[in-house]
Amino acid sequence: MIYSPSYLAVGVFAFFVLIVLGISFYLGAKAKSASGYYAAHGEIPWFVNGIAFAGDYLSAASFLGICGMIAFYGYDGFLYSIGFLAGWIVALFVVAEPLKRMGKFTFADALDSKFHSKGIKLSAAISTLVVSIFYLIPQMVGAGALIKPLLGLESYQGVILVGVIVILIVVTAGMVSTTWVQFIKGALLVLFCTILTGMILQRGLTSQSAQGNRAIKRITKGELSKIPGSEVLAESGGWKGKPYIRTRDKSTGVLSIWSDRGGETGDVVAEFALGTPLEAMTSVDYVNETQYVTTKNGRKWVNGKPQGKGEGETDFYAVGSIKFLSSSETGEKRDSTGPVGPLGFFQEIQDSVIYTWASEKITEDDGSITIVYFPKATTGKSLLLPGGSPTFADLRKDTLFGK
Amino acid sequence: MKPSPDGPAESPADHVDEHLDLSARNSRTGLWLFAVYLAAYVVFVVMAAYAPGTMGQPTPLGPNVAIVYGFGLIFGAVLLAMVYMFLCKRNADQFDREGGGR
Repeated sequence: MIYSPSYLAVGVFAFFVLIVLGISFYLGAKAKSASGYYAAHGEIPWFVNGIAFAGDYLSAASFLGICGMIAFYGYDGFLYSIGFLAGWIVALFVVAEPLKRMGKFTFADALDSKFHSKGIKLSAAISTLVVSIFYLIPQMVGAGALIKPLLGLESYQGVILVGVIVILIVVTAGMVSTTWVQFIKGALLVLFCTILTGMILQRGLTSQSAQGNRAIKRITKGELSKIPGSEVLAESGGWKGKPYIRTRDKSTGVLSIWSDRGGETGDVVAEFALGTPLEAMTSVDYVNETQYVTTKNGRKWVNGKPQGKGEGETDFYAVGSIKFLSSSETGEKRDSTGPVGPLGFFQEIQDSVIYTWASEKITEDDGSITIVYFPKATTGKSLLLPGGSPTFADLRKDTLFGK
Repeated sequence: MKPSPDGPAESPADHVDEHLDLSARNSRTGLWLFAVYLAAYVVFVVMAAYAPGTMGQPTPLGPNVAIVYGFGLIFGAVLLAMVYMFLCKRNADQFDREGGGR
């Protein structure tokens, strides 16, 4: 997707960065010893330290990663947040008291004071670095992904920008400034996420029929072949055997890809007169519209046209829609739910059918690569159960090993 | 903790003999609470793997068991942390009454 920078976003970002750097340089003047630099003299108030830990937790992994996983796979994304939390439980109940008894603030110090072994100290240091690197990689990816829509920069520019700022903050004042920065971040995140949640609940859920022509097109194969001015292309090359049908508009040459993946909730499968024998009923097959991007010779084509904002160019449209909400108590179809509470929100999701999107990569004969993003109608019920994601898909089968 | 030049700082480790009993009690409390949470967590995972039907059952609260149990684990963790704080404080009061901390 092409993003254009918003000046308000840039302004807020720059303001925040300046404040944080300012605090960092000010506190940097105060750190006078190694214990001050690396463990903040042990002088950070407990409340600040606690919120700072919460800020660590609310990093790109949770804020972007878990939200993204839930958006794609439903409940399985939620499992990650529980898993992360269980780690904190271990830290509190199992590690905290012995660590305090030894009077040390870090795990490496504690091991060293107990065993006085250079080998243990080295492996503690190495394992800390390894874990940190693995944790940093998704954080930096998240930074790049976040900066892109915010400031309009490329992903790698965002990574460099955030990396430089963070290094500056940490290097100038060590643990003291890092903790205060994390405290500010944690407090801001909790505050704004609460506000966002309130706003989402206030808005309620709206089904796609209320979205006019941005509703996902789902048409029968019969209708597909009858679209004026378009022809159905034969399968060729990388498309053979894949559940897609391609059509091309004869006048503009624009290629459309339709996803042919069988029935969905809400399909009108057949209309027949009473008394029609079973053999005479013809099944009706539907296809969904898709979005796709083709990369050919370094250029990107989205949905058949070059990617861009100019004349004759197009870009991805935003996705995430509800196919239908459940009917109201009187049996009428509803377009929107109105404001809901947190429990009501889950109830509504459970009762509705939602379009989730997945993707598939196809290599064409001429070497270009097409990624097709196709919608699947998923019941809210199945989204709210474990086993929705590819990682945990074996859960829903009955094999013992899979589980 | 007093800020100090590079070198060993005075730390609670210097008083370890006096407070060992209290610390051991706190550790034990912590391990018990950990066991409680671990049990709840294991039940959750086993249910998710072997009783997916139960996970889908609606609860009186509205959302299904999976959601309620999941959020229960999250709020339960906060609750257990507060219980731990309360129990450690009780341990400390008991320790003082028994004449510890000379």
